[in-house]
Amino acid sequence: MKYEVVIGLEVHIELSTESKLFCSCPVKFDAAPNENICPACAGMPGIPPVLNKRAVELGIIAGLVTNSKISSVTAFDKKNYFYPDLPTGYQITQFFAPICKDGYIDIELSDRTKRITLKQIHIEEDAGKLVHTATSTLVDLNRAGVPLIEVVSNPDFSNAEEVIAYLEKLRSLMTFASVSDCKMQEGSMRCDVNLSVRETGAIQLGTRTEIKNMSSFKSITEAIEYESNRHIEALETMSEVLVQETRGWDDDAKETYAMREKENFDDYRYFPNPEIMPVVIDSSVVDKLKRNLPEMAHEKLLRLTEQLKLPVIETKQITASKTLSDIFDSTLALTGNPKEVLNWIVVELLSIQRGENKSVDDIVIDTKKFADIIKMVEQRTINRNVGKKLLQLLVEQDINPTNYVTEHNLIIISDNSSVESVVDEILNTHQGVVSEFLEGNQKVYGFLVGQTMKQLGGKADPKVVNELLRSKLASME
Amino acid sequence: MNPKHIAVDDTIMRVNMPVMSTTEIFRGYLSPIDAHVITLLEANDYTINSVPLSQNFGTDLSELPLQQVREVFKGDISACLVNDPFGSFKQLATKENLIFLQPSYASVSRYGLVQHVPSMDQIGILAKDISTAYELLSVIQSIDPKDGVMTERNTVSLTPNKLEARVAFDASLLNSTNDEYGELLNSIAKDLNAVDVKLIYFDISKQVMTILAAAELSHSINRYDGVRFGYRSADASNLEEIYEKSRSESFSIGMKLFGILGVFVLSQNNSKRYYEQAMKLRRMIKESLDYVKYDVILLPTEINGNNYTNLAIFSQAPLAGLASLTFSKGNCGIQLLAKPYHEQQLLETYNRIISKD
Amino acid sequence: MEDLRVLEEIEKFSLTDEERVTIEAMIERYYESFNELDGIDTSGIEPLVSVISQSNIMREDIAKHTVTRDDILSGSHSESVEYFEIPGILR
Repeated sequence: MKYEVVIGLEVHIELSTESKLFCSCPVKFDAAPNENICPACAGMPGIPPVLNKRAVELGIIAGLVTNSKISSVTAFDKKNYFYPDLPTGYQITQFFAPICKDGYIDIELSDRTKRITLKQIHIEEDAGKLVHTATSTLVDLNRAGVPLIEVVSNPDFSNAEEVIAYLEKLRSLMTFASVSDCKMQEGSMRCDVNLSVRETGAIQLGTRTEIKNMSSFKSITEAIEYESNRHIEALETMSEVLVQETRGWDDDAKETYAMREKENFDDYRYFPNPEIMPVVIDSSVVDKLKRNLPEMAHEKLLRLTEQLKLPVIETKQITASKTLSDIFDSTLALTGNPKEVLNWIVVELLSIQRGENKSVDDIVIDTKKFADIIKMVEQRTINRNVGKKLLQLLVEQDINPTNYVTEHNLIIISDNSSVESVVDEILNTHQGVVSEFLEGNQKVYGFLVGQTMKQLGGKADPKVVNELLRSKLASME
Repeated sequence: MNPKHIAVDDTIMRVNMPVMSTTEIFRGYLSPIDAHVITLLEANDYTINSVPLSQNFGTDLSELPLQQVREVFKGDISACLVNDPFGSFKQLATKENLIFLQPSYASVSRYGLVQHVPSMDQIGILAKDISTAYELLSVIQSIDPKDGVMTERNTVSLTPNKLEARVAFDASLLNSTNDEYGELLNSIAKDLNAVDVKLIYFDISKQVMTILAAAELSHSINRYDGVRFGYRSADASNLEEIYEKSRSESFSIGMKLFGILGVFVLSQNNSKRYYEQAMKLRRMIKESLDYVKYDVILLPTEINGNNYTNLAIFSQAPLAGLASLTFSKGNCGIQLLAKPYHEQQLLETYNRIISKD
Repeated sequence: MEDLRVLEEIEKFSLTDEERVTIEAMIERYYESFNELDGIDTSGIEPLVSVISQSNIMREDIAKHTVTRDDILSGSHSESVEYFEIPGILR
């Protein structure tokens, strides 16, 4: 390869707090425009900022799960520029003394593990949102003042695969540690890519461009590939002069474009914010937060596979998502059968989710009711098919499974006489099929089972049906 | 004079009332909140008039709003609350036979006070007499969690002291005052058994003050951009014009001066030389006023020269966060500075000075 | 000393010719006086950010509304009751 690509990432992650970083306004996704603002976050005069303690704790936790050094003193600064989504004309951020430094995240690639080193993590407030109409710009400040951490990596990435592996790992760490819900589609995780290209083996870095506005892992991959090629072509053919600039990603045209010059602010005139007292972080505070860390994905995987002897592939599906892991944990606490719970989630719940075209992270389910369904099947109160249907209804309509079973008379039919009479009836009605089976065609067995089950309203205990059918067929041979 | 009838400068915000009406910047804006001190005062049965006093800075920083102050104190109003970072109202107090009590930084809530210089802003009390001033102090001085620089440790004790405050005086400052005034101050110092002290950073205080105040003020005013509230130029048809025209049309020349100066001292090339240097000097100034051999510092209220030179006098308290009391005895303007939260010593020293004939 | 116009642009306002003359003179004066600070040895001194020496002044993470949207938007220049509005398109 003549050229190598050098990439660094700045990932903005919204912290899971109840209120904003410097005022008590609620933090809620999808609120009506400007519903959650106050004179402070709307940039009106007279309201001093007061720091949110939980945001600092989450910053420390973010540092702990990324092997970072937690600063013993951290403070806040003003970063000054004019833009309509920045009501005070400055962003309160951490320039001089960020909360964490020098961490790392190890990522699994197809052929090896790679360590991505972090420059720092700092806490800052988010800006508002702009809505563009044909003739004007509308400003919604709900998001202004929401607490963020910015995770700044060193330029350790060489390609999109590494970037995506890192983002997935970062998301896993932050969601499992309850730092954030990291939903790219909701904007609680946003990634800016800094990219440059140089001749392989060269020491100096090439001209760097920053790419913004990618709203999914897919568009990040595409943007990196596009921009890398654009740089390489510029170097090879001299058709374009590369300038250090910020570029946006156009997901429709599948290309990057130069953003307005105003996006390239040169001098932010950082200075310490005298209204926010520094935070001294005692090691006892860090130790306590460390002790209380929730189980991380890799720890959970190890525990479930080694101690509970659960199968690796299926368990990995659970530990890939904080949402699924939580569902697993709370359902398991109510049923006590890990293999069953795992199976129900990985096979049944996920297929329902795929059918609904929802993201795994958006699955919402009452785990007590889920546990009830699993228990009813386990106890053979209902058969598995009925269980699957109940689960579908639970996800769609949040029914009460126990009541539903009673109301719709779905209790399993397992008494032999009722089943037997139906089996006899089916064998009688489908004598041709029976003959095929007796001649050696095993495949038609399923048809006979299906017909029997159907006749029994789907409520029969498959075990009983099988036993009776098999014995009757055997006696016919 | 009605001790319970006071005025507040309208940079101290009140619900549904205009804000800082000496400037166009807040045209059309009504405050959605009451300042914390307003809540405290109303709970203590004060009647409050909002008055537009705070100048938005002429080119001359110490422009004295003499007429406006005289208007305010015409009736039975006994005191006026105002934020006075540069000392204009303190100077005025000496000329109008009023008293200006400046509480220690962070002892009075800034919630609801329009920000000027956040590291120095403090609601001060301009009063007709000393007991009104201290009565007001006891009402407005209380912890407010809505102001992030206040904690339980920042409390003022107003219990009488057993020992007389030790006073310090820098006689060398008299080299810059006129002889008559110098003599008056000297004799006051003598009566107080003042120890001699040298305020080694006095002369450069004005530069330090100017640099820091400009830096902070220029960024406190960035939010006044015509976008969300307040003045918006009628001529503006897009964002750039909204910014540029609204600000140009509504900012006073003094705000523009400080806006430019503030950006200058903080720019990448200059910030180390000016802003950082000023912050370091601020620490040196603060630490040099160590209050080891003295409890109260006696200062003149004007020295010969221009208003810029005078700024040094009124910079000491805001740079170091000290409490101050400014008044006149006869023709002699006097400023007393106490250690933070030791306002009681100012009162006791005042009484000693005034009671002597 | 930078050209005033550069600084004006950063601060998003412009001076009238008259204002510029006055301000230029004042800034020159300040600028000259700042030179006195250059000679003072401040090595080893920590910059002072606040006269308050306390640290860790924070609040609990409790969400609450202090004003309504109407309170905030009523003073704005938009016709909308939901958004702040800027005419023209952002390039």
